[in-house]
Order: sequence, then C-alpha cells, then structure tokens
Amino acid sequence: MTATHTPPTDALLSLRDVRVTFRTADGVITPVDGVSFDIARGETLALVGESGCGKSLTALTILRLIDAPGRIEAGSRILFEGRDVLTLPDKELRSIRGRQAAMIFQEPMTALNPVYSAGEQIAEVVRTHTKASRSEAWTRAVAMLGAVGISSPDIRAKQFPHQLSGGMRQRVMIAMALVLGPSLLIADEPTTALVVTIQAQLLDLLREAQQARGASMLLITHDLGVVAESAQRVAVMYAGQIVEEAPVTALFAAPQHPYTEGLMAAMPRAGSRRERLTTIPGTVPPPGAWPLACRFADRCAYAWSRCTIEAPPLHQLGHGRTSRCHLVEEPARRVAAQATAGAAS
Amino acid sequence: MPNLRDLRFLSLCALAACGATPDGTPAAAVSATGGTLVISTPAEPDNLLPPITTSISGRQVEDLIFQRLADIGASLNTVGDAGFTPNLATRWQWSPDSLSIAFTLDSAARWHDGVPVRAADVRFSLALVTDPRVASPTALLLANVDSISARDSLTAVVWFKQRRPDQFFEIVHQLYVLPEHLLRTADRRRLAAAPIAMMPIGSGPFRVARWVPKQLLELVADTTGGRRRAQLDRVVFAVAPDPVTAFTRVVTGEADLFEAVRPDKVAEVTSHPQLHLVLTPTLDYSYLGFNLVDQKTGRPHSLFGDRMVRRALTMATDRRSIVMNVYDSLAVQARGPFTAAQSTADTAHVPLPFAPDSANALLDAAGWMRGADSLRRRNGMLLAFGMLVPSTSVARMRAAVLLQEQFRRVGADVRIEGVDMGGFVSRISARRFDTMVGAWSQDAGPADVRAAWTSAAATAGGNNAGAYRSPQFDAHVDSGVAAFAPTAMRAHFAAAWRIIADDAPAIWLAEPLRVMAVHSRFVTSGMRPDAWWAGVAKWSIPPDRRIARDAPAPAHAAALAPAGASR
Amino acid sequence: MHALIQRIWHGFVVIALVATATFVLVRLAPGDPFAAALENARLTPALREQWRAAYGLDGSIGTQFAHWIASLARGDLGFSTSTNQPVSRAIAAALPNTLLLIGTSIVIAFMLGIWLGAVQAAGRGGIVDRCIGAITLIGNAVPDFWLALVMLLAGSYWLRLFPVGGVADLLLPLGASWPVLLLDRARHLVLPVLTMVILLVAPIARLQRTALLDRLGAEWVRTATAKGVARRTVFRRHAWRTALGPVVTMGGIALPSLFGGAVFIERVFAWPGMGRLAAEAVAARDYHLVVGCVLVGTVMVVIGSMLADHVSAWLDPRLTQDGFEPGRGLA
Repeated sequence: MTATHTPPTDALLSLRDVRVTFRTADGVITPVDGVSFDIARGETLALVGESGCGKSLTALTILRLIDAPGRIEAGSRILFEGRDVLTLPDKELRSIRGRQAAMIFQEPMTALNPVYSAGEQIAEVVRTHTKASRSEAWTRAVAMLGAVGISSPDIRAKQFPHQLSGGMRQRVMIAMALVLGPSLLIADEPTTALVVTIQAQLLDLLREAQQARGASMLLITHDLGVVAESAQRVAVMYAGQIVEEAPVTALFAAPQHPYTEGLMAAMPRAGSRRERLTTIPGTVPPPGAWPLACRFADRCAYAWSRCTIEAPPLHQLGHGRTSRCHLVEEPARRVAAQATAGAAS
Repeated sequence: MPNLRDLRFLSLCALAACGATPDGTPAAAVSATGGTLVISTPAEPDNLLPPITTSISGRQVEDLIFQRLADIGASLNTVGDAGFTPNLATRWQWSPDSLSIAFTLDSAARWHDGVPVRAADVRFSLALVTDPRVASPTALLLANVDSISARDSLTAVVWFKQRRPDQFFEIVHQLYVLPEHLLRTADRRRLAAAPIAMMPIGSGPFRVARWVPKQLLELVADTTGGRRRAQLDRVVFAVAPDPVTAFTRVVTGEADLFEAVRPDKVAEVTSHPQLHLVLTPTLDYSYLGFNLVDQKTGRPHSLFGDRMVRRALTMATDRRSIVMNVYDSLAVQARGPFTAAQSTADTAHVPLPFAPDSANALLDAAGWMRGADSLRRRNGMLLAFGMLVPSTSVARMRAAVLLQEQFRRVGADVRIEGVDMGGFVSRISARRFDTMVGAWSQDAGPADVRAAWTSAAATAGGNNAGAYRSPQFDAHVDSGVAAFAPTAMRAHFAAAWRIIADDAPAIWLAEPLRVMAVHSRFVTSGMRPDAWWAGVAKWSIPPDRRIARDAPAPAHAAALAPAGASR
Repeated sequence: MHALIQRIWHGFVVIALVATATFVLVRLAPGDPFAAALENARLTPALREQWRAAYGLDGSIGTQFAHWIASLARGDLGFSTSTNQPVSRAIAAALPNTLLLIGTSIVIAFMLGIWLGAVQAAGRGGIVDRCIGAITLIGNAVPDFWLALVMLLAGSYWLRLFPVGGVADLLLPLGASWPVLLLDRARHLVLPVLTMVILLVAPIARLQRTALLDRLGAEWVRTATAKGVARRTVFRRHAWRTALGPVVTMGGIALPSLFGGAVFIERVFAWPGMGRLAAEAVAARDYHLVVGCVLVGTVMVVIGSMLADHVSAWLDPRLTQDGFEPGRGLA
C-alpha cells in the first residue's frame, strides 16, 4: 500500500517530491530524485546516507542554494512555515536565509571568508537582517561567541579564521547560524571534519542551543553514531531517494530496509570480537548510472527477480515508519534469506 | 629687392632697437627682426666648450654663440684668404714672408657678459686648445700654428711654422675665440665639468638663454652693447630622441626645421604647403671598407690583401642601384673618398665600372672557383667574410643587405654583423673586422683625407682602419695640400683619386644630400655643405608671415636685454 | 619589528648585488664613453686615455670599484660624462618625471583593470564580457613600441589634439598663469599615460576576471548567500574582496618591468624620465650614470615590492609579514 504523505499542518518544514537535475556533458542526471519528508517544530531529523547519495544537495534545496547547472525541477514543493520556498520572491527568500532558517556547513576553513574576522562575519548576519549599528552588531557577535563556548570571545572575535583551530571555527559557524535565533537549523555534516572529542562537544552544543530555542534541526550525516546521539527521527537516503524513515530507537532496534541493515551491520561496535568489519558488497552507483527498478537490488542480500523489474514504492508501515522495499509485501523472503545466512555463519 | 619705404622703415626699427630698454618699445614689435626658429633634433650637445666638444649638435650651437676670426664661404676655398669674410677680425695683414698674420679685432665686439673682446682672448684660446692637459682633438688640426701674440689690445698676431696654402684656413676655421677672463681658472684636466661648459659665454650673434637637459636648448639674439647681429629673436633646439617624434613635430607645426628627412618621408613633407624641402650638398660619403690586414697575424688579409679580389668585388656591385634603392634620388653615387662639394673634388673622375662579368673573370683568375653551391673556394677556403654595420643607421643596414646579395651573385658568402654604435667604433679601432660599412664626414679643409686614407693614419689609433698604405697616394695628397695654385692642387688630387680607385681599398657608395624640412615662413641663407646652419644669424621672417610663437612676450623682451645689464 | 628590519636588510643586499653587477657588466661592454662620440672623431687613443684618466676610468675594475664605493659613502654618485653634470643632479631631474608617468599610469590602470575584470566576471559569458575580453587580448598582444608610436601619431598628428611628446611646453611665456601651466602639463601627460594604461590594463583585467570567477565558486560565497546577504553585497564583499590579492601580488612582481618598459614610451614621447636617461647612458657608455640609474631604480623596486607586500597582507590576512601561517590543524 502506498500513499503519499499529506502535509501535517503543524510541520515546520515539508519537502514534497523534490527533484534536482544537473545538466552535464553526458546528459541530464537527477541526484535528488523525489525526496519527501517533514520536520516538526522542535524536532531533529537526521538524514543519513553514504557520500554521493544526494543528502547534501537535498539540504541545499531548502534555502534555494542550488546554482546552475543544477536546478530544482518543477513539481517539487518545499513548505517552510506554510510558505512555498520555491516560489518566494527574492526579498522574502533572503529574509528567511540566516534569520528564520540557517545553515551550518561542513568545512569551516573554506566556508568562512578568510579576509574578514570571525566577529565581522557574525556581525554581518546581524546587520543584514536588523537595523543594528556596527557596534551593536559587534557586541552581539562577541556575546554569541561566548555563548557557543569560546573563551576570551572579544579577542577571538578579532581573529581571522586561519588563526583559529578547526573546532573553534566550527563554533564560529554555529554562532553565525544561531545569532538571530532561527527556527530551523540545517547542519550539513557539521562535525565530520573534526576530531571525535570535539565532535561530541559540538553536538552537545548544538542540541542545547536547539532545545533552548525550541528550534528544529535537519542533521545531515553519514555517521550512525551521531544519529543515535542527536536525532529523534531518521531518514535514510540511497541513490537520490529516501529508502527508509523511522524514529531513532525503532530504526536501531529493527531496521526494515536491507540497506539500513547493512549500514547497521557495518558499524564498528566496541566489544565486538569480529576481526573484520562487515561491508555491503558492491559500490554506490553514480547519479548517471542508477539501475532501473530498485536501485539497491544489485547489492541486496534479499533481492529476487521482482526487484530488477519493478521499482518498489515507499511503503507506509505505521508509527511513522516507511520503507522502500518489496520485502514489505513479501516478508517471507526475508525470513528465508536470514535462515540461509544464519546457517552459513 | 627691398624698396625705399622698407629701407626707411627698417632703419627706423634699427634705431629703435639700438635704444631698446628691457620694457620694450612698441616699434620693436613690428620690426624686421624677430621670430623664433625651433629646430627639432634627436641629438643634444655633449657640452658647449669647443676644445672638447665632439658632437655635431654641439658644433651647431657653438657656431652661433662663438665667433671665429673669419668665416669661410660656401665654395669652401681653403687656399689663402680669398674665400673668407671677416667675422671677429675686421681686417688682417700678412707679413711679407707669410709666416705671420696680424688680425685687427672688431672694437665693438663684446662677450655676452659685456666685457670687451681683446687680442689676449685670441692668444688665450690657442693656448687652451693646445694645452696637453685639455687633450683636445682640435690641437692636431692647429699643428702649423706656432703661437699668437697680442701686439695691442685689438691686434692679434698669429705666427706660423711654415708657409702653406691652408694656413689661413687652419687658424681661422679651427679656432673659436673664447673668453680668457672666464676660463682662466678652470681645471684644464676636467674642462667638461666646469659650469661654463654647459652655460657658456661667447661673443657670437646668439647667447645661451637656458638649457634644460634632454628637453630644450634656447638661444636668444645677443644685444650686448646695443649691437644686434641676429635677425631672429630666438633659436630653440627641441630634443626628441626618436627620429619619428622629432620629425612629427615639424609636420604638426610645433617645430620649424628637421635636418635629416628620410627618403620615404619626402612625399609627406611636400604634401604640406607650409613646409619647404631644402636639399643641400654635404661633405659626407659612405663606403664599404675592406680590411687589408689580418688583425691577428699582422700579415695581409687572406681575402682582401689581394688587390684583384678587391677590384673584383668592387666591379661586382651596382653602386648606382644601391644608392637609388637606399636613398631614392636624395644621394649621388660617391666616386671616391671625396664629395662633389669640396675643393679637391675631381668631377671627371671615373670609378671602377659595374661589370659582373669582369668581376667573375678576375675571381676565376685569382683562383677562386665556384663550387656546386655556386660559392667560391680556393685551397679549401670559402670566399666568406663578415660585414660590420652600425645597427642604428637604417641607410647603412639597408646598403649592407643589398651588398650581401650582390656579392652572393659572384659567389661570395657574406655574414652581416649589426652592432650598436659604441660596439661598432670599438671594433673598428681594434681593427676586428673583415669589411665594414662606414661613413666619413669631412672637414672643410683639403687635408682631411689624410686622417682617413694615408699611411700615417693606418697605425693603431688612426682612422685608416683598413690599413691602406700607398706611398704614391700619400705623395700626391701631400703635394696637393701643399700646392698654392688651385690647378696644381686639383691635378695632384685627381692623380691621388685615380691611384686609390685602382687600389680599391674600399667600395665608395653614396654621397647623401642633406634633406631638410623647413617651415616656409623662413628666409634662409648662407648654407654651406659642411654646415647648413652657418648663416642662421641672417635668417629672417617677413613680418606678415609671423605666427604666434614669433611674437616676443614681455618675458622674452627681458631675456633679450644684455646679459650683464642687471648686475 | 624584527621582520621589518629583516626586510630592509634583504632589500639592501639586493641593491648592493645589483649595483655591483651593473658596475662590472657595463664596463665589459665594448667601447667607452668617448668612443660613442663622432664615429670619425679625431680622438686618438692617447687622447682617449687622457680623458679616461681625467674621469677616473683608467685603472682596473677593482680600483674603479673601490673609488666608487668611497665616493658613494660620501653621498657622491659620480660624474656623468654624457650629460656633463653630477649623476645625482641628472637623476634628480629625471626621477620626478618617471614617477609622474608611472604613478599616474599605475593608479589608473589598476582601478580600471580591476573594475573591468569585475564587470567581466559579473556578466560572465555575456556580450560585455566578450567585448572587454577582446580588447584586453589586443592590449596583451600589442608591442609597446608600436603602440607608443601609434598613440603619438594618432593623438598629435592625425587628430592634432595633443602635443608631440615632451613633458611640458617650454616655450610658454614665463608669466603664464598656473591654470595654463597645469593644463599644458596635463595635455602632455595624456598620450603617454594612455599608452601605458592600455598596456597595463590588459593583464590586470584578465587576472582579476579569472581570480574573481574562481572566488565566485568559493564555499564562503555560498555561506554568505545562505546568511541572506544580498547578491550584490556577496559579490563585492565575499568574491571580489578576496580576488584582489592576486592582482596586487602581480603588481608587485611586475614593478621592475614597469620601470624598464617605460623606456620605449619615454623615448617615443621624448619624456625626460629615468628610462630614457638610463637607456641613453648605456648607449653612451656613461658608466657612472648607468650604475646610478640602476641603483635608484633598484631602490624604488625594492620599496615598491615592500609596499605591495604590505597591501597584499592587508588584503589577505593569511599572508602576514612573518610569512604564511596555515591554520593550526584540527585540534
């Protein structure tokens, strides 16, 4: 049984059938192919997937940050606070960016302008959206730097990105995103470039800040550990599509989609006595070379003939769970395959 | 022919000018005198002290600001004193034995600072030029002068060592009279460093008003003592190092005169109605000089020590067509080491003909056989040589290319070596060349050929770079220089030219005309082949042809006042 | 402070090396100051030796060098044989003219070049971009000397709008008012400056365009857009501001050729500047003047480079005076 989501009226952000195409020398590719999800107020949704699955692009569509040669196809709808972002006039779009919805990028060394100081870049957000004077904006910037846990913020504010450590730079980015109190945070792999210990600190920081303001967060990551820490709900992406969506605990307890299963199995666990990490055989197909029908079929342990003929729709499983897999309709095959695998090990 | 009314008008103006005060009288504004001549030139004088000046542009200025005892006429007759007009000396008296001449100086002559010119100045000028500490190249040209004494304040007696036809020319033409009272204390070893070398004081019709280095040198008519000898108010030398820029200034009217119009620019000059094309003969000629001596061994040059080869190569060149090609109709073929304008010329002299067949026959007879590549060889040695050319001279470079082609046709392989002027001169003096495209600019006197082609000049340091030595040639030149009768002089020189043409130490190429562009408002006069500027003091502009810059501004009237008046 | 002293010391070493090398090289060229005179000057070698001795040009290169260093210590740059005045006076007369010409040209060329490059990058691929691109291509390809001649002829002969070279009309009446003098100076400045600007603008515009297009794709530009900054402001503050660095650096590197390249322009326009002074001194083998010009030129290049480095550092704080400081790791 398939049904398209209907937008709950109180969702902060709704994506419906978002499609992004790129014109390349070899033709048109569709790295984001019909993505839909909702984020409720105050909720954190983690968007998980390997690199190349289209999750970063999906994040960029929300604030219309896709540049030529890419474009968001007609038929996509992105509703923020009930308004369709894709049809907003420029001025209103700009007032959303940075103020009501803010992005945190992955690589702060390149995402921050090297010739302006940290304080100036935070102050820039303030002065863009409010009538604050230079000194007022500066004061707010310094205060924000303190709020994100940077010591001696008045000194740090005058420093340039290259004079700060990676962790501090990311705090600056977070400060920049939070300073005007947005209702939506879009964090694209915010801790990937950082050491594990700093990672934890920053995630805590994000969570606290978000909860203090009652903000929602779209957290893009490839690290399931991060998901477990920070998110309430998870959406798994593969090859431009959402293949599974579920509340966090439910997902970890019982993943439905074979891809999610594979991801779980591949996670290194402390205390595990296996010598080798399990991997999913095969590689992620590039956007121009997606298989017809089920895109995961050639790597799936459960695949059978139907999978290469008929593309599975996104099945609703109740309790907020979905899965894009034929196994939903033929659960018997799952049991049989697991039995075989169990017998082999 | 000026009519009576003009003469009266002129005399009125002359009277008014005599009494002119620094604030100027209205009559002076419309007088026959006046006007500004702007000469556009790429060169600048090195200094303005005649004993040490080596640049032609320096000579041009010095001829206007200094005086000689007498001036030579346009016919350049250097025998005796018949061809000369008085200048600083109003008259002179020969002694019966012709070993001394007493010159009576103009009592009205003044230095530009107001001090009268005296015989002591003439005596001092000779002493300065011949002082070994000054090391003046002009000293050699005054070799026959023994000394000068001042019989009284206005009579200078010149004593000679020998009686010679050109003795008058020597003392009168080579000596500029300089102010003793200003040069007496100068450091003779480093005269060029003295301030007076850049701001000289002379007694000539013009004086230096200002010299802005690399930009402009301004002369104004001298009116010291109320006496004015120049018609023009000012002569300005405007410097532009690129010849195209210098020429363009004349065409646009910013300047009035350009003295070296290139053949391809002649049409442009004639297309402008306000410009006149003035052609005058010169004392310059160009030639391809052979090096007769192998500089490394001191023995005769392997190729050009052989007279046959030199004659053959001369006959292989179509000199008329080269001249035509390089200069169009603005030069004549040079027939020998002389120019038509000089007194020792032989207009009937016939140079070696253009005869490629004879050339080939001569080379064959000399043992140079053509190979498969049509180049000649003898005993395994190729008939190949270098041709040294100064790269800065367009005409000579062009001539070199044409010569190379003509030599190739008779089987000789030529390598053109273009060097800048400094390098060219240094290689010539070191005698490191096979052939060279040279040019010689002659002095007005007959003896100048000695410096270029006699045996004495062939020694190291002399200008006979090819080391041509012919006792017969030397003898005829000496006899010609010593001959008092013009017919005897011409006969000797004709014989000398025949000898040197036969020996072919060089291929004489061209006698270029001086091609000048002059603004049509000027009435020019007194041009000499060795100095077109000789009569500039008499150049004038009719009052109805004057343009804006000819009008004297109040400041210039002040500049026209005597230099010492304000002291 | 320590860094500044080090820079000055390096500059001094460079100047000393260049001056010494020039001193030796110019004396190795064939000919001497008194040979370049009339080709057929009656200057015998004996006379020439005397003149050389009078100006301290006899003796070995070593002795001459020692004398020169001694006089340099007294502040005396020597005597110029080709202009008959102390070298310092000749340079003092020529230097302001060169600074006027080059200074004006640099300022105009950089402002114009940066602006053109920005216009091109903003409208990338469009008709304006392509038009400007064609012009700068021509500007890059055109030989200096030819361009100078064409500009001179076009401006002063064909159009009769400007004077034929020179730095001022020296025949202006002495009592002329200062607006007249100023206008005269300006008229003389137009053609040579225009020539230099055309030659300089081309590489500056092209470099600015490339740098700017590169920066437009930078991540921080996307961040700025994501912050809601207006498009124009993003272009100016985040793309263009970070693209100025390479242009200034290029300016610093091109300084020596600026001084040298002006030789042609100064010659064609009869501009009495350092380029012409040095070129004519070389042709005349005026040793002291050549070395003096090179010395002064080197000093100016060194100072100019230091200035350019400072401006670069101000534009891009990553290039501080103490050298490049990469970000301190991922800790």
